[in-house]
Amino acid sequence: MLKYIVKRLLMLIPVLIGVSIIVFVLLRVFAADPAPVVLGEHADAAAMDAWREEQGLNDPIIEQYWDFVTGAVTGDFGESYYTQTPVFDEIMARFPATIELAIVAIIIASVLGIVIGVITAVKKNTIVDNLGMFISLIGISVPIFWLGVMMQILFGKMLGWLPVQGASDADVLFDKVTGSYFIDSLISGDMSNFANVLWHMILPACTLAFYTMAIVSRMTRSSMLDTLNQDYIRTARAKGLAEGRVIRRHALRNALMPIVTVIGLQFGSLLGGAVLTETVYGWPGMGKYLVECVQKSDFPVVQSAVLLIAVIFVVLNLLVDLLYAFLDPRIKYGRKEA
Amino acid sequence: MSVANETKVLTEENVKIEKPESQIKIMWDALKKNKAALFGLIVILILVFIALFGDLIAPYGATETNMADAKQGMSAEHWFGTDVQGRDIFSRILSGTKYSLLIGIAAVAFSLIIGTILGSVAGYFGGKLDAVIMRIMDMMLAIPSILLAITLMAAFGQGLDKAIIAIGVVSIPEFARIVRSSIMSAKENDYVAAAKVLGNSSGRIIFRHILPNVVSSIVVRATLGISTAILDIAALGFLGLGVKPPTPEWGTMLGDAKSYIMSLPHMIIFPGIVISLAVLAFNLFGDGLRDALDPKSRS
Repeated sequence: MLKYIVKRLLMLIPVLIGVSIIVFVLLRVFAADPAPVVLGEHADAAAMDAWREEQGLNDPIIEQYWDFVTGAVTGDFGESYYTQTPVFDEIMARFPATIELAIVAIIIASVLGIVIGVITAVKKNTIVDNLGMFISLIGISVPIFWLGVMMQILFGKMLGWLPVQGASDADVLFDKVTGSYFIDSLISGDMSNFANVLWHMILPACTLAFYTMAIVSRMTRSSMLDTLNQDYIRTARAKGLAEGRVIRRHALRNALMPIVTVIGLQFGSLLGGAVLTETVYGWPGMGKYLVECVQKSDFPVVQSAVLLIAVIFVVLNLLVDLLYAFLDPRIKYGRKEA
Repeated sequence: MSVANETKVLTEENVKIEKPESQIKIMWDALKKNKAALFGLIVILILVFIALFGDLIAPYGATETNMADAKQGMSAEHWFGTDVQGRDIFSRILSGTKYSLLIGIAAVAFSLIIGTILGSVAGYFGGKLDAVIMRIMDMMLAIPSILLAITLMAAFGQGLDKAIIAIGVVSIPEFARIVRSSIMSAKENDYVAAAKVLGNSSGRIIFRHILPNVVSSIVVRATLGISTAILDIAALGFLGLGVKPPTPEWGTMLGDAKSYIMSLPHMIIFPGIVISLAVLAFNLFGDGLRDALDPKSRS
């Protein structure tokens, strides 16, 4: 098992090198010169050239890439064109806020998605099934950012129930220690801070969760329908087990494999969706920051942020694979070529 | 049983010629019974009609500003209201249909063509070529698709053609994978061996003998891919990275409306509803096609 994990981790290296090349070539070769954007259209040519020289943009592209990669390995991702602060610090200050939003969203999506999927599968071809599947269909068809805006209009403007911008109210102040608003508000000791953050989390997390919930419920339903037709389910019923126990212990447990895969894979696209959700809700995470940096041509930030998300994405996929072995004891990695 | 097999072998040539037609008929028969898929198909046909003739039906010009009528809500003159420059939102949506639909379909065509070629080559030849192609696909898949599209737009700049390429590129790996696995299982069939023995070139075997047999799964994926592409282009437009304003592409309209969410909600509500409807239609139709092609769910 350990050998298998090490082998898979080593296989990630070429993938990540490839990702870094793709992103680097796109932003350094194809993208327009950032100098006029950063310094302003009317900056004089000499100043622009001096700036390019200072940023190393006049060096041969291979050399620039080498600098980027050797820096990245040692944790030096360069500096933002605008703030001159290290990109790594800028990203790490915002990254926890994105992760906590994504984690809350994936929990909401998994719980609701599995519940809806199981109910619709058990009540197949009834009105409950149709309703559940209709909600899922809406979930995969509605643009996530538009859904966010609609929730803002409904719960913010019309009903006035929930806050629609930011991670906490402007007058709620607490020290930023970890960058995670949940943890920071908790360790501030004032529970009203935590409640405020929680309150702000509701709309963005539900918005982000909706699409994933739809995917999970569709997957759960079809996976449950497959297992409910198996002979061992009939056997379990025949020996007089309560229906609830048959569904939970016999059907769901066996239907779980593809569901876990989908949830694991969705976490990555959730990080993509966070870009849109954060922009809509002004959530102070990495996604919103990334979009701002794309618009400002702050390429050192963009390439590092994309690379970081790719790292998380591939590591998550590996974790999902390993989770298989846990859920299905028949799978043993590393024995033979599995 | 053996007799049936023998006849099948003997008439393989006939079967091959008739197969595409009969498959379409089987599909259509199954599709006809699926109300949701039919609804999707009807909406798609309406959208295509609007894409072709939207500018003629539209009561106002899509980029025609009229400051006297600016910021109006719904009315008999302006069904969906007007935006900050007095442009009629209903007319803009009608006129924008062609852009959103074109980008969606063209992007899928782009990824379909490149993905099919890469997947065919990888699946048919295997070995090192397969490894290289699929590792490159893995690299692209390591970046969440919307992020890759954003990075591509950051590199290429705004524009209709660039949006098509950006959204097309991100789904290449998906098509390459589907085609590759279909090819790998199809190439074990006897008719491929027969074609080889007859001295057909690899290209001919792939495109004439194998691909026609795996085309159904590709068509389903492509139909569902259009809905994803429409969502992606809307997202790029919303972020201000898609098609340049004042082009009435739906996502770009949402991007324009971003600053007026609370004051002029109709500016964002209607384009969003149309996008959702279009995506829903392609999803329903795609799901219907998949079910129609899947003998398991046909019973």
